[in-house]
Amino acid sequence: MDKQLLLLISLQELDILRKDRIKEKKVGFEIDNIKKMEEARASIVSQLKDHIYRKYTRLTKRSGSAVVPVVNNICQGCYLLLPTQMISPDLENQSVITCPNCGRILYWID
Amino acid sequence: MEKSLIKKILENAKIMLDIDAQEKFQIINELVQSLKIDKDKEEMLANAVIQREKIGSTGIGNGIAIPHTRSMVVKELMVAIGRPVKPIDFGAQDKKPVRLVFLLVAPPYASKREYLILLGKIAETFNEISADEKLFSIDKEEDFKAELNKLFGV
Repeated sequence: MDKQLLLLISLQELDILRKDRIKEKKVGFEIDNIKKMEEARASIVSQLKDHIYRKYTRLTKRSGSAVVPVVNNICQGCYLLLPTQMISPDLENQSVITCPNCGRILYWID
Repeated sequence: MEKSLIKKILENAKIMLDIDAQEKFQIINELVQSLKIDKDKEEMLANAVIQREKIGSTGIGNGIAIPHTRSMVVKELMVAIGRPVKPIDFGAQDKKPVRLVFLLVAPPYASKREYLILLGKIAETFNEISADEKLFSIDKEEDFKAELNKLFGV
């Protein structure tokens, strides 16, 4: 798997975790080490290429989630069937590829 | 609705009784492996759970821990329950070592509701779970699941 894509997934998971803090607190979990979480985030961001991080930030603001899974060749962000030229096991997760319809970054889950 | 949901989730849960793990990240790795997902995803998932654990212990108290995360690498809510041979330090607030570990992983988008329902249910029942000595001596998976169902009232 492409390293930048792997970093993007980790970054998004960390951002989801930040958002989940309030809900988790309601069911009894305290995420107390905010500093550690921010450090982990900064470390991931420092390894991302600038233009990829900018894309991630833009997409997150616009669409809520920047990286979305592909299931049965369908982008799970906009539910568009991907064009045939994008469907190849050689391409899957080998680079940062975006959905031609919604622009979200694609992660092939299967 | 909630009861049938929890029952279904527990039915599909992986159970590992008597795990020979010495520390919390080891038992997390063992439980992630029990989910039988692809090797590359397994590593990503374990890292995500460990990352979550590092920013706040999921040792909820009274010997129960619920490591959990939402991860892109899973398509549905998955649960694995592990009972270590020797109690493990999870850095819980009450400092008690952990005797039972519930691993919960869910995708970021779907199953959000189920994930929080189950997380909440275990969190609200942990005192009863911890006090149920039978749960810590049962050696058959189906008996273990039946006992858990009883505790969760499903």
